[in-house]
Amino acid sequence: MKKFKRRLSLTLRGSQTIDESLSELAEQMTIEENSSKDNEPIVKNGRPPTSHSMHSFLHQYAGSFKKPPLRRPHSVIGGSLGSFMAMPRNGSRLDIVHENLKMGSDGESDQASGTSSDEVQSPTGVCLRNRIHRRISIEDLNKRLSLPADIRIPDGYLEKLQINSPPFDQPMSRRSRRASLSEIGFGKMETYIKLEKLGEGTYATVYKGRSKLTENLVALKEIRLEHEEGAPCTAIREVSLLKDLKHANIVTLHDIVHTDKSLTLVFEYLDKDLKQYMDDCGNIMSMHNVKLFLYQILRGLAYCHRRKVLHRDLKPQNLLINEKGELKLADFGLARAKSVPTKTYSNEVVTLWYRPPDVLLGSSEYSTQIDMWGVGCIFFEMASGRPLFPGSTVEDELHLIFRLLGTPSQETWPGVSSNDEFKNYNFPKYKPQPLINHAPRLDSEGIELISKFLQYESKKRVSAEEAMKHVYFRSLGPRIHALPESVSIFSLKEIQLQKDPGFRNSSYPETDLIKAVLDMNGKGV
Amino acid sequence: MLVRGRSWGPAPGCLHLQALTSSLSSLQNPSASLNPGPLDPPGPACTCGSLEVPERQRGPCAPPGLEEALSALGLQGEREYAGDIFTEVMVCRALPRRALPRTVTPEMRALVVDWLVQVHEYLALEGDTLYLTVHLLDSYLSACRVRLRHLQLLGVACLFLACKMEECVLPESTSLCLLGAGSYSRVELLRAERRILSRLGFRLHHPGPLLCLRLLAALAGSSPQVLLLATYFLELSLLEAEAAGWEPGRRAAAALNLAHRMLDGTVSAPEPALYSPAQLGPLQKCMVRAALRGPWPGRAAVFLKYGRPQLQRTSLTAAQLLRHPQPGPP
Repeated sequence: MKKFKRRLSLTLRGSQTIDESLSELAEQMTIEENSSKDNEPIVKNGRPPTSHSMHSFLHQYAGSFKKPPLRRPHSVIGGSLGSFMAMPRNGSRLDIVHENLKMGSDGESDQASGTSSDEVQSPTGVCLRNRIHRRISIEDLNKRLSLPADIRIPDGYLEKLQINSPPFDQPMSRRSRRASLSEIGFGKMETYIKLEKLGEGTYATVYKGRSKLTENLVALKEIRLEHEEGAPCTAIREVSLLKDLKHANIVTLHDIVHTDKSLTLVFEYLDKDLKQYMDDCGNIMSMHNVKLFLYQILRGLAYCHRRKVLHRDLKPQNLLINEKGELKLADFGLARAKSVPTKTYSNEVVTLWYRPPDVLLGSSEYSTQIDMWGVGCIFFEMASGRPLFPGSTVEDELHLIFRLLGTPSQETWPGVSSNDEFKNYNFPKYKPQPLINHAPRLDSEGIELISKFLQYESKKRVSAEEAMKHVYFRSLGPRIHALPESVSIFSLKEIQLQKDPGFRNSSYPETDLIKAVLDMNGKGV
Repeated sequence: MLVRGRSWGPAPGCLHLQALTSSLSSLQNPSASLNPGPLDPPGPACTCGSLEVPERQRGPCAPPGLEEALSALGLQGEREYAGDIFTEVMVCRALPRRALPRTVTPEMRALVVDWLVQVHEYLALEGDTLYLTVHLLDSYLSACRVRLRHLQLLGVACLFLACKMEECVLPESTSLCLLGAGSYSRVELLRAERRILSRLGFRLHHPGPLLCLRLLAALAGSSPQVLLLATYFLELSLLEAEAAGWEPGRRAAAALNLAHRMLDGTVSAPEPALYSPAQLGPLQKCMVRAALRGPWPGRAAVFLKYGRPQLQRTSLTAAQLLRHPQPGPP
């Protein structure tokens, strides 16, 4: 073995590192040789004996694909496939493996990383740099980086690229492409500037930010990854759902920045949520705007429900509104694609005020109707300026609901009398009150629609799809129903936001609003 | 032990092998092969016939009886969206037909999937989790290369992610490492998770063939035995590398069709016949081959799992029925 090693180091004298690694390899080989001489099994990684049986089985299997099947101890689950995987089936296979991309244990992929400067300069890059450069134009850059044509790239970036990258008429190597993208680009935190904190949730902090690529405002939802279980499932579900949801009334996810410390979701920026909006207009909204907002909620929700996605956490804080009046559903952290119908979820999902009574009474059956009760509550809140059922506990919440809509009986809600929780609460028998007394500004059609949302039995609640066709929305005209999914309702000339009677926000003076409305008219699709 | 295990209690409805096969001939559900829903023909815009492969975009429209089938699955609230849900589930695209990376042979893939089936059973996870795991594995393999020694790590990271999508209670990363017997560390697992997420661009949502199967079985009015046998065939197909290129709807239809043919002896496919026999043939051949293979080393987990009394020794019954096909009732 020593002789072999010396010969190798003689032939490869040039490089110190290669020599070192070779001697390591040689040492390893000697150890294995010795141990196999002693006829002892090689136990790597201190693997417990239980898994050894699978290990040795795999050895046998790898050696003899054609041999008759061996009985396999099924009780053994733990075990490494590594020994099998590492065995070359022919000489060339291992060689290929070494060239390949690293998976998992050793660092970054070559596309995702490239932040360290020494990695950036490739040999090809160096040799190409001396050639004559063609001037790099913005168009070239956009083409190469596959960016939208109207994107604005900082000037400094362009200069830097001029120095560092090969001329544009040359084909770009993978490495130099990586180098050119290393500074800013999608998937990198350097691309975004944090401006101010907008809010803090249970597992995330939301910042207002600006993208250096587009100069647009963005909302940065930063999810901390302190705990040891990797990316939280709420974030994974939210992102994977939002990737499939592209709609004018659903917030757009622009980018994801994933590091080992945090996961940042980059959303489009909208000025305020419905709660702030209502506060800003002194809780007196124009009834026309109430109709427009409700329609947009239903439009976004119907789109989700058609895709088996439940939002499960509808509340004014999760409905975002921009200055044009476009309303978008946000915060899909609790949303869920119902691919598994039989699954029961935890009861603690929807915020108490907007939670339907069947869920408050312990129902675990989740269907699209779970979202519709909340829509009714939000509708009322917009029309009347105050929350409909602001309960502080589950019992309080139920009490408020029953006091307005009447305590349910077996006739009004079949099955409720056998519900144990309902029996335990022992509510007084309230008579239903007319809703119009509590929302006097709402017309009779609106009252009819709201009562369709506030049905005790979930299957009796109107669906989002159906509610959009309700007579209440007839005044919006027929064209609104034929809009493509990705087009805002404000692209129609007849759809315009009105000035809210109680509007008193100094940062958005009246003239701005009128200007915004005029702009929209000019655009009319 | 940190890991929660499945405790198999004695199953009340456990049938002996002979009893099962003999009772099956009398189990004939006369409506099984008939149209379960109302018999009125589908609307003019509706083409519920066999699907042509190129125009998968349009997809099947809701067949009659769909709302009842959804109710049978506990989705009675979704009548309004029945058609949309059916279309989305059945039309879900397959992965592009691409070979495995050069470093991974179909045997190695099968070995990892077989191990994942064992881990999945041991942790008593949901059925959909397994299908999503293998879907993520195949998605990654079709897009990226992987070092051979990291294939098991890739598999377990896919399982970890699938759990985060599907499960209510997550297995801990430490217990997943324990099941790998130290061949990867927790840090490696989390890093692999990050890698998968970035390479797949967080696109983890996939309806999967299990819901398709439940929907189709409810539509065809299949008996529980037929559904169980079809589930077995469907799970066997996980081990085949080529199965990644099959649409979930077609896979489910092939499994259900095969189960019906074996247990009911009917030649015609159960309604709705969304796929032609020619489209299902190759898949069924593959499933039959796998079922006859038995506990082949490295591919035994599904066979052994379905050989348990709790699952009515389905795999043994299947092998026996396939070797000695029983003449179907008239």
